[in-house]
Amino acid sequence: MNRFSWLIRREFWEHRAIWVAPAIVLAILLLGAVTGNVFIGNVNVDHEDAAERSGLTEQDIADLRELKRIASDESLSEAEKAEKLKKFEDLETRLDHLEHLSPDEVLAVIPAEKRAKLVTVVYVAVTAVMFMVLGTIGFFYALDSLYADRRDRSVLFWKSLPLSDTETVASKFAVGVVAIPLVAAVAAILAQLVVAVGITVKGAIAGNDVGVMWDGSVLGASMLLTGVVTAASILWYAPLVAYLMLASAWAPKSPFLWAILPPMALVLLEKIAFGTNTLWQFITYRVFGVVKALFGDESQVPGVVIRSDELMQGTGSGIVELFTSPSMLLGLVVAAALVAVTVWVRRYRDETI
Amino acid sequence: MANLIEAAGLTKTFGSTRALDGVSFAIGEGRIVGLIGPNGAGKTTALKAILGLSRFEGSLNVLGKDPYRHRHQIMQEVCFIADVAVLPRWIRVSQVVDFVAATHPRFRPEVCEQFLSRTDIKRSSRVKELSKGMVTQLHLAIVMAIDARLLVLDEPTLGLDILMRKQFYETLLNEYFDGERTILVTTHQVEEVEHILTDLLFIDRGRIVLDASMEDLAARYVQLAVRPDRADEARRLNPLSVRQGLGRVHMLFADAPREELDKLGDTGVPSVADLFVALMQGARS
Repeated sequence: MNRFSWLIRREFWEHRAIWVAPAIVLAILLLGAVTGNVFIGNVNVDHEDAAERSGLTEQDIADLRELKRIASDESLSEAEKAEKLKKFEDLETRLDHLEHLSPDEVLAVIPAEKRAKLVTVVYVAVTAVMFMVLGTIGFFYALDSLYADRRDRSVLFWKSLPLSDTETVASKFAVGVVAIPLVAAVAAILAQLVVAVGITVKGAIAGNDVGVMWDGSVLGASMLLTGVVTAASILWYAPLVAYLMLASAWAPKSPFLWAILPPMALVLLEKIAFGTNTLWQFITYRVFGVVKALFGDESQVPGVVIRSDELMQGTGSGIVELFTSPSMLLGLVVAAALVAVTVWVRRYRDETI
Repeated sequence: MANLIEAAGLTKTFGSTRALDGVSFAIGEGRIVGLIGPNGAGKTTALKAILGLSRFEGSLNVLGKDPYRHRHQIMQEVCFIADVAVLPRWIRVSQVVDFVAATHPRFRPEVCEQFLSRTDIKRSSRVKELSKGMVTQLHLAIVMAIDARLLVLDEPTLGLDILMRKQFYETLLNEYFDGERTILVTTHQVEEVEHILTDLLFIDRGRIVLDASMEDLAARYVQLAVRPDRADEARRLNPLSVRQGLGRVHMLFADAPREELDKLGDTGVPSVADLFVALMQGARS
């Protein structure tokens, strides 16, 4: 076991991006928190949401609706619009302070019942960023894992040590499937805390109430979500990692192309021969399965809109379905088979150096 | 003494070319064997078969095991340096030493430290920051700290300057070789290894051309420097090769009557390089 931990350590030495990239994202978030521009920077507030706190009267809101209607009226020319909007200039000036608000200011002006949702969206967004970053790193890690040392011939050094190819492949598979999602989980939770602290400090200085950032149910939900995403990533992406590692072990050159082109060729062939997209749908299903399960089929980028009802509703049912689907279990079986083939290729691949 | 390596009918084909063509040889414990041959002769192919890195036909036995099926087991007692460039470039000196210490049961960290302390290698450097010579020193320090029975060196000094090459073999002979360990080395620079070898294996086009100990060599082969006027007499004794020198004709004989040669001119043991050239030419003509 101790040997195995050294094999894992070796991967972290070689592929520093696994921890450097999330560290950089965290540093950027921290910087954003310190300067007050926390990650998404500015949030556009629905003016009606902010009416109460911004001292808007009912007349103002009626004007606002009229203003929006005119602005989006396509039957009017630009000149006519400008003419009609003139009388709202005063209102627009008064609304200026609602544009480009930082999150703590948004929290201060929106109604209490909408705050928890906004904060959840913020947490989900930083989590999504971390998982996207590490997902990308995991993709390239797997492609590189059994190719890099063949390219620079250091494979001859590793093979001069009394390590079996099974141990080597297993350690790399463990890093790609388990360690990288775990790093993402830890980084995501740290990111949530950085954002929470940043918004809290900024809000406290400005005198805004940001207690909702530390609302137990909100924090709990976001941590739970992080845990679920991590578990789902580990189980769901195991066959994908194994496939990429097989390409990495086998490819004479450019494992990227060897991994991508054959399935793409088959997709094209299917399209030409049968006019169908079954394979392509399968591929996107395997690649985006977790994302889709979390955010529904629309898979919109979270954090841009404040209305997150659908987003949060999608969480529960989709994930349960994902974990219990035959597709998940079958994927694990396929992953095991691919790893076995990868070990075989790693061991018996005849290099003509 | 027991044989560490036994090969019989070792054959390896790449497409239509036979890199190894039914090669048979045995290497005993405590020998320092030079595997010598021109480019593409099959040296590296043979070494890779011995190290369990490639498939082969025929039978091969290394430390009592089939290397292809039991590579990671025989690696407990076998070390190899494939050539200077194979240490991963991204790794730090301290990391590679720690890693080998953790994964190799026969690695002796204190020995490695002792070798490294004599060099200018910084423990925190990455391999890519080291000079070529330093990388070899590092690799050698690691390998020599492994208490192995068989050490395989494939062109270990490629790309090093002459001082370092000399130093490399001196360290190997004086500090590593203890009379029990076995070393198998391939190199182009025959003259640099010949004084440390106990045995020679010449290989050409996948076949063994010569398999002899250095003592056999001195007994069987004679180098004769003869004056031009007596060269014809010497030619009648069937030399392996004839080379025109300054005021002398140099000839190389195998199993020739020593007394007659002594009468013709100055005799001596041929250098490995001369013998190599003579045998290669003979094998090819």
